[in-house]
Amino acid sequence: MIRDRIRNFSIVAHIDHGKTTLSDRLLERTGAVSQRDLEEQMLDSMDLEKERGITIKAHYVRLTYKAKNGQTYYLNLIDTPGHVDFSYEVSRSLAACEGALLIVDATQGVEAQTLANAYLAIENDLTIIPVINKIDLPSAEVEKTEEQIENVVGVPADEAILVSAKTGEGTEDILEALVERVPPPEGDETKPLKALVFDSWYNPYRGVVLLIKVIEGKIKVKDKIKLMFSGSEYNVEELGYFTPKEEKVKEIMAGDTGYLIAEIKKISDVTVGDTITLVHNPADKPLPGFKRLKPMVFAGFYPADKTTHEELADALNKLSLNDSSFEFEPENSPALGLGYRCGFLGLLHREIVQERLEREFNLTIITTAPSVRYRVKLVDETYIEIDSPAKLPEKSLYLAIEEPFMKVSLFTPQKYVGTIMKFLETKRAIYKTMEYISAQRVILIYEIPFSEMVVDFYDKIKLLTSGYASFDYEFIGFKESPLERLEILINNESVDALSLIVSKDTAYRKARELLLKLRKNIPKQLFEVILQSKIGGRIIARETIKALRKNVLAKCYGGDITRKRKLLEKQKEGKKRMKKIGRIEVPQEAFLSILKSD
Amino acid sequence: MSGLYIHYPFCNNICYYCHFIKTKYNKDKNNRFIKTIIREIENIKKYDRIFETIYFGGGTPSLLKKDIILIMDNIKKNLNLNLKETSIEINPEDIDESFIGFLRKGEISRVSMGIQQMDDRLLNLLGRKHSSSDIYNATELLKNGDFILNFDFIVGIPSESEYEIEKIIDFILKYQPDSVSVYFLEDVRGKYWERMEKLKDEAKIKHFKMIEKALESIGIKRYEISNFAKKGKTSIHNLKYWNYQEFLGIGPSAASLSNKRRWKNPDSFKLWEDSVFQNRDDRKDEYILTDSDIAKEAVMMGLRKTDGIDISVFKKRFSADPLNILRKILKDKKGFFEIKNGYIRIKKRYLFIFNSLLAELFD
Ligand SMILES: Nc1nc2c(ncn2[C@@H]2O[C@H](COP(=O)(O)OP(=O)(O)O)[C@@H](O)[C@H]2O)c(=O)[nH]1
Ligand code: SF4
Repeated sequence: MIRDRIRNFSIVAHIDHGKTTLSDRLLERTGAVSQRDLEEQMLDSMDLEKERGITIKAHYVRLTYKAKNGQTYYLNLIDTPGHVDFSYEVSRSLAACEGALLIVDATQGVEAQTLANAYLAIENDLTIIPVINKIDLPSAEVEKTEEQIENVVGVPADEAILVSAKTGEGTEDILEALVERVPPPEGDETKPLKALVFDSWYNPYRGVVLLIKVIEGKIKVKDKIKLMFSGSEYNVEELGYFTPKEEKVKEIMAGDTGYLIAEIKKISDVTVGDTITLVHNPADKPLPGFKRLKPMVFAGFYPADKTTHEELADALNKLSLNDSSFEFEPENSPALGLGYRCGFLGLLHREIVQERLEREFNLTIITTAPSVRYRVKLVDETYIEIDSPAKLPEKSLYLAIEEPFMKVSLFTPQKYVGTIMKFLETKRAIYKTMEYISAQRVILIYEIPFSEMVVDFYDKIKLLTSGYASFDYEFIGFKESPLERLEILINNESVDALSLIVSKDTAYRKARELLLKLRKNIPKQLFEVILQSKIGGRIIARETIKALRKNVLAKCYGGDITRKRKLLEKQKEGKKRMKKIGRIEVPQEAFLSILKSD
Repeated sequence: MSGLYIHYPFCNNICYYCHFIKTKYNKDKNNRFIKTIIREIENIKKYDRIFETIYFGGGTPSLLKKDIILIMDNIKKNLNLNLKETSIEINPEDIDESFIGFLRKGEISRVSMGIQQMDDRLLNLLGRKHSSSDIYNATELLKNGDFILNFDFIVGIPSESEYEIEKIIDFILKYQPDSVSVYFLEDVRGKYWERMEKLKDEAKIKHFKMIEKALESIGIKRYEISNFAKKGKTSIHNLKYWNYQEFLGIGPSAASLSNKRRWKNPDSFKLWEDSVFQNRDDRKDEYILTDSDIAKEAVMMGLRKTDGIDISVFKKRFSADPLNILRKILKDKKGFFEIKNGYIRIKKRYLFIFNSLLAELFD
């Protein structure tokens, strides 16, 4: 039976440990793609992903491999995103697999995402094949890495395959291990159809493309299908594999993976994790594990130039076509005018969206400091959720504020433990445990209010540990915290986009620090700027930015009108990423600076 | 009536802060320049203009020495003139008896001396070649020459204090020139500049105002952002720029404004040379100006003057109302302007923030 010769597997790794390079080697070795195409990095097709070194959209490719035992195998490589913001997508991709290659860089050892992804793989009952990469490097520490894998991931060290994705050494061993160690998929072709949607994206010519794994039964072109959670029905137009070229087929059987096109118009019509079945012979219940993702981080996006408001709306719409986890709704800020409140899965996701708006749509965006979702217990004991400090009701109207907490696992060389702990103290973090992975590396577990993580947590951790620590986090729930709103006034007007929800313990200090930061980030203006901070109706601190006294006025030959115009234009250019609040121009940095720690 | 600007692109010594188009002087390059500029003078006959002013700028045009006469002769031979002012920029170290003779013979009427500072330490810092004694010597020679005399200064140099400004003031009071220009030193990169603390804007302005006050006391009044003059001694040539009147520029990088067009010659000496000898108009940054461009640029230039813009004259010349052109800016920045007796002007104390005030002019 062909099913015995199918292997569904994915590659999980911490960023930069060599997933992309190894994928390329596997493709190359199985003749899937030419050397030239390889340079285009097939599996990493979006520009942005390449630069950030992560794969945002899961993809898959079907490799054909003639094994040493003489049989031909179909190896479906299912690529997963490598960032916590997308961990749900990762878990759905893994649910489509029976095995996973766990790549660990022999020069770095086990890191936060190695572990996070390994645990996801274990949860999904996958056979894990440890792969120790970069053994060509003199700094490779193979034995140490093996030891860590055994200690932390719990996979016997002697099962690890030693490879160099760079030279190609060990590629064959991996392919053989996939054949020998990963079990073939199970599934009964005669049962009613159940297929898992593990990825989807929008193609302007074809509509929505789905990646599916058929778990039970089979799916054929022209079948009338139904998405069991969303309830919508479609006709199957096309089925096929990516090898990585599109290769159309008539049907896909239980155990196999492939793509599906079915005149689906909007990405929001399908959700990753949904189950496909047949309208006429439906399955009795859907596959487990489905979740509707809720955005975790929110920020206001405003056009720097008011006249581009429509363009921004258009661009957000287009982006959401391709990104079902991104949400937005109109928001009207007294200070910033018309804009959008946008919801993201996480911090990286927010940055990606902003960058795409600017790069692909050529818009200049002012974003407010990111906020988390708070639960506010009102006086009548009911709850409301707010995603922006500006939406916090009057103090007399609520009893308590709850905020989301994360469990953070930090992986760090032992010598940075003190530094990290000191830093976390300033973040209202609660220490849980500390474990040694090896003599030099530890895992620190903390619970941290998510609001303390939303701005520069990542950068700070990297900075404090010279890039050696890594971390991962998961949402553990809402907890009540002593919080209140801190307001900022510019020339006596309260600026909603600059208000914050802060911990009562540090509110006064924050109120003063914030003004200093703003003073640093708001350039001198034609008018004097008065900054004030206010807690619970009381002005706590005040700073003044004196009016601008002088521009660049160097000698410039009188007839050079071009240069004179350019000077004016330069002046204007400087104002581009600024938002006018009253008569005052506030630069983008000011909005973000309020959350940054020094 | 047009103005003629001649750009002489060589200096003996390159000052650290300078961003003008220039290269190091040598005799051979100078001779090539003379040959080419004479040819360009012939080339611009085609514009068929009457020139009222001539201005030799640079670079260091005092390095022309005797050749100044040759160029002037060629101008007189080829162009229609009705001269009211012929200016030259000079460096103090180039001035001697014979040079004064060349200026006379060339019928130069106005001399603008690049003094910059009176303190040798600061002159050194700027990388100027001359010393304060060169300045005294040159001025002694010039003061008997019957020229309109302009002194050029740069203030706002890192480490500059009131002490050095007093030296400038003493010098001005002693020689009582007809006019003075005071510019600010702006960002200088490289060398020791990076390590020096920049002078604060407040101090820069204070130093400027000290000089301004001294000048006023001897009847030298500010008439443009950086320019001061006795009554009747304002620069006719420079006023052409500020009044947005026609001028032609020759020499590398020289700018021209004529016939609703604005352009520059090539910056590179070689490209300029080629284009002149092939009589090609290798114009750089050429703009064909719309009526709205012209009116806006005229506002930009006009507001540099302390008198500002004569509204009714402007309306007649440009068929546009300056108040209307400025309406967006006036909406929330009215307090920085003064509209009085048919003029609109930027209040004197706000001329320092000229660029910020007019940033939105070309929106
Ligand atoms: N020396 C060496 N470098 C490698 C090896 N595998 C990957 N790299 C390099 O490590 C970096 C990260 O690899 P990449 O495949 O992009 O990692 P990914 O982020 O996991 O996809 C790249 O610069 C690769 O060239 C290897 O086996 N040996
Ligand atoms: S002499 Fe004048 S033009 Fe020449 S380098 Fe010095 S400042 Fe610049």
